[in-house]
Amino acid sequence: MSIILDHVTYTYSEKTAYEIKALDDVSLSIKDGEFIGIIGHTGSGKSTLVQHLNGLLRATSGTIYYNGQDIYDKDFNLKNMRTKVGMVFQYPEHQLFETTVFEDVKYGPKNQGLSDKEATNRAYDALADVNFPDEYFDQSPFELSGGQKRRAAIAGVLAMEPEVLILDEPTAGLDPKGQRDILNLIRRMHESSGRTIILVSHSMEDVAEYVDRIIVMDEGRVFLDGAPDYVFSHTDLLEEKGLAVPQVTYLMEELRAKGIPIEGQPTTLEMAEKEILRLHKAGVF
Amino acid sequence: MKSMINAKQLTHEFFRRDEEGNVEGISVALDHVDLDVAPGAFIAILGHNGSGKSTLAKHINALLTPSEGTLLVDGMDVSDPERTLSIRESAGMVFQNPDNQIIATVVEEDVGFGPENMGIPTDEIWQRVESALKGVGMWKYREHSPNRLSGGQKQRVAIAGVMAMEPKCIILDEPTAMLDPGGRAEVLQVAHELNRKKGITIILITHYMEEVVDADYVYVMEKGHIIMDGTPREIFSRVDDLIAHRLTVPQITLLAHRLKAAGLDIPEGILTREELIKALCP
Ligand SMILES: Nc1ncnc2c1ncn2[C@@H]1O[C@H](COP(=O)(O)OP(=O)(O)O)[C@@H](O)[C@H]1O
Ligand SMILES: Nc1ncnc2c1ncn2[C@@H]1O[C@H](COP(=O)(O)OP(=O)(O)O)[C@@H](O)[C@H]1O
Ligand SMILES: [Mg+2]
Ligand SMILES: [Mg+2]
Repeated sequence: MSIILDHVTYTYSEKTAYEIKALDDVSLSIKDGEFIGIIGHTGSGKSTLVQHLNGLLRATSGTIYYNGQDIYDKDFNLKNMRTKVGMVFQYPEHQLFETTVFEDVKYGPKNQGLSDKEATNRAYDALADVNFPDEYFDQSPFELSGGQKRRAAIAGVLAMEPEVLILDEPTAGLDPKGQRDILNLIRRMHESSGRTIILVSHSMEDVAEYVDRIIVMDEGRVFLDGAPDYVFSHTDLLEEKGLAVPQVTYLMEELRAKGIPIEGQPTTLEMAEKEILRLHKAGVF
Repeated sequence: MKSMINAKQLTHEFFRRDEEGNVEGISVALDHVDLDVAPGAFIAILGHNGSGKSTLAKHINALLTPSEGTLLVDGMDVSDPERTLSIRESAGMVFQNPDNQIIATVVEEDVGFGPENMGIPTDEIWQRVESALKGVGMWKYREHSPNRLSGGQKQRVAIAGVMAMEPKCIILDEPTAMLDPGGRAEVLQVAHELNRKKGITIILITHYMEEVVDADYVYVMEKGHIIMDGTPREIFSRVDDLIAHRLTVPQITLLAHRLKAAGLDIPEGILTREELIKALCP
């Protein structure tokens, strides 16, 4: 399910004194099955970008192709695309509104026009996919813990069986275990179904560990785009833009500056551990 | 020495009621908590979601009062309604979401709002606003609209708003949860400066373990209890305990822990990159 953005620009409050160009000539190609992380300082355009991918915002200029079709073409079924590109917003618990978790998760498929029976099946599958405990199915979503609410909200999007899943800072505010659980869940979703995943995150350590490709936004433009080891080899540039590299990457750079022959660009704890153990065996440490 | 914050057997119960007002259930958010914070300390509080951190914070600001036990803030009892205003002047609070705390349309007015409410004379208000905005490095934005600022800048304005009330203590309840790395660093730097230069007691609640490394003392909460307390090094030496309590340790500490387990000669409780480098290349 490829998505191509061709010179997309988006301006909020166009032709007013408050005009803000939130996306500035963005061209990107997202291939089927990719696991992409989007990072950038607050206000760099991450949320605006992802809202274009499912047609919630319409580019001021430029266009977007979904599987080769221009989504702004008048024959293109935008409503249908919105169910194929599922979006979990920042603080998704604010979108839970039905009386029970189960009804909430059923809402999406029902809205897609599925029968009650089909929607029920979808809801069961989606809640099972996110490991949501059965005994809470009939609870009010408001009574759940932070992590459970996020799971319920993600299940609500999964129940529509999207081909692309976009998550806008899905772990913000969760405790470390809750963060890890949600990220592992997203990883499983990617591995088991080959779904395209787009994860917006403020944690450099998390994107380094989970995604295959990182897109760095700055002032509405794509500033860097590549594999984690490539992106995180630009420490100074990233810091200038209010970002950072993972703690272990800083460590390895500092060791290298001391003359230790570090190989490659370790970006995760496992990679750093392996490299230090290799050097240890070689007698360097 | 007098304590800034002293909790004895502090307990708070929330009553859940149905539509008719009948009690459906009681949740014990704080369960006989003892805690003592000296003036000028920098304290961090860790704990899983729902462990009672915000409930504790709201007591320090007299937004909630104890169901049982006592809490003294700068010697004042939070259960005494006549002290509520003085307590709020002594202990200011900064919340997670910068967008919900900024009220005015101009930065300097927002910062002046607190002292104005306290009935401070106008001249002094402006002096305080100036010093607070300079203190957080936001003076040049004084005439800006807050909603044009970055998340980190908004949080700094929120902190300035609390500073302008000249509190002895500032409680920051997950102030960096919504910020990018640059914004997180700004907020932490300002909190440490206020602590060092002005001697303001800081209570920082966070899920970012890296932010805790420079605190004087750490409390770990679980289900309304304090289950561990100690210096960052003492706490972060207990890697497996922390993970079992839904928490973690800084990435560097975890790396050092694993290297040690793999046989390298590294001490437990490494907190920073400098320490790890020193252990690796003595
Ligand atoms: N609804 C809106 N109206 C006006 N401006 C907006 C709106 N949403 C975002 N912006 C502005 O657009 C820019 C990009 O914002 P956003 O996409 O939310 O960034 P990010 O998600 O990276 O923090 C910012 O300058 C922001 O202030
Ligand atoms: N206003 C409230 N009414 C009922 N229960 C509450 C309320 N606020 C918090 N609680 C409960 O008290 C416990 C502690 O919550 P809180 O102090 O917010 O935890 P934390 O800040 O550590 O995440 C949780 O079980 C929570 O559900
Ligand atoms: Mg955003
Ligand atoms: Mg809280």
